[in-house]
Amino acid sequence: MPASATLRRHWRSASLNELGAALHHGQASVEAFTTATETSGSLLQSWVQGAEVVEYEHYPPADVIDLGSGTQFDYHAHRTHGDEHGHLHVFWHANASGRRSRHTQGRKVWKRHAPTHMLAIALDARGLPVKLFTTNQWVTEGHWFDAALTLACLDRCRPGPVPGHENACAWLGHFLAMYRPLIADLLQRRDARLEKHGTLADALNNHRLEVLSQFRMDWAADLDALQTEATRRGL
Amino acid sequence: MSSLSSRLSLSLAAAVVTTAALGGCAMACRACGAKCGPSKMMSKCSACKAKCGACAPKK
Repeated sequence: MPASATLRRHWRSASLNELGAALHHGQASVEAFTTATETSGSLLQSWVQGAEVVEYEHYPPADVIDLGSGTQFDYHAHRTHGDEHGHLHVFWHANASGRRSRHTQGRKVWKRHAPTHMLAIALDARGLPVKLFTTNQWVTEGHWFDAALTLACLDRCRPGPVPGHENACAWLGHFLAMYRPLIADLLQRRDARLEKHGTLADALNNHRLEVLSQFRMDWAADLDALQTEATRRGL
Repeated sequence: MSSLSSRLSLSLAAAVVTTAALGGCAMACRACGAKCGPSKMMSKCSACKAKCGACAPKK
């Protein structure tokens, strides 16, 4: 599969600083992914921990929650789409206007401050990310933000080192940063699809609309394209 | 600059392949909340078992 055309276009027109930052995130995400694979067997196994995966169960069971950044994520599996084994749902804790809220361990803070879904990342059985997708509100609950606000929240979605999940947290933060241009496109497509289905309130609860936008991806090809562009620009 | 994709390939070659998921909760009662919602610190699915048992893993 070729590298994402959206990413290639973005990197071609990016400033040297932006390109350098993308390269840093690419390198750091591969580093964290490799370390997770060496220490846990795979990124996926860093959450599953050798257990038999059961549909809809969360791995780890209580999710990974970083109180500092407000990031929450969990892995689960319940569909077989091509090479997808399961997917990671990424949430960010915010109030209804998208402002940061602090999750307090052991307290139910979900009423006004909800973990709001940013996107999902499908992984294959080796833990390799193979697809990015968005879901409708009835699927993942939480507040609903338009693409611009979701992207602004996602920029703050950089989990710190949650004990036991340090590599996964590092991978996720850098991976999201590297793929920011593609995620922006993904979120805009999500909103455009909803607009075709009546009022927003109706569309968000329309059970015929589950996955709203998706991109298949080839991480290795995207990394090659990033390095090629960086080399061409003398980085 | 070494190739990041090569590092990735080497890592994947050594990765554990996780077996496909076993059948699980059909979520028929929705007592767990949204289909793909976040964990809410509830005791693990006891509420569902009490209501319909749909959360019991099907092997």
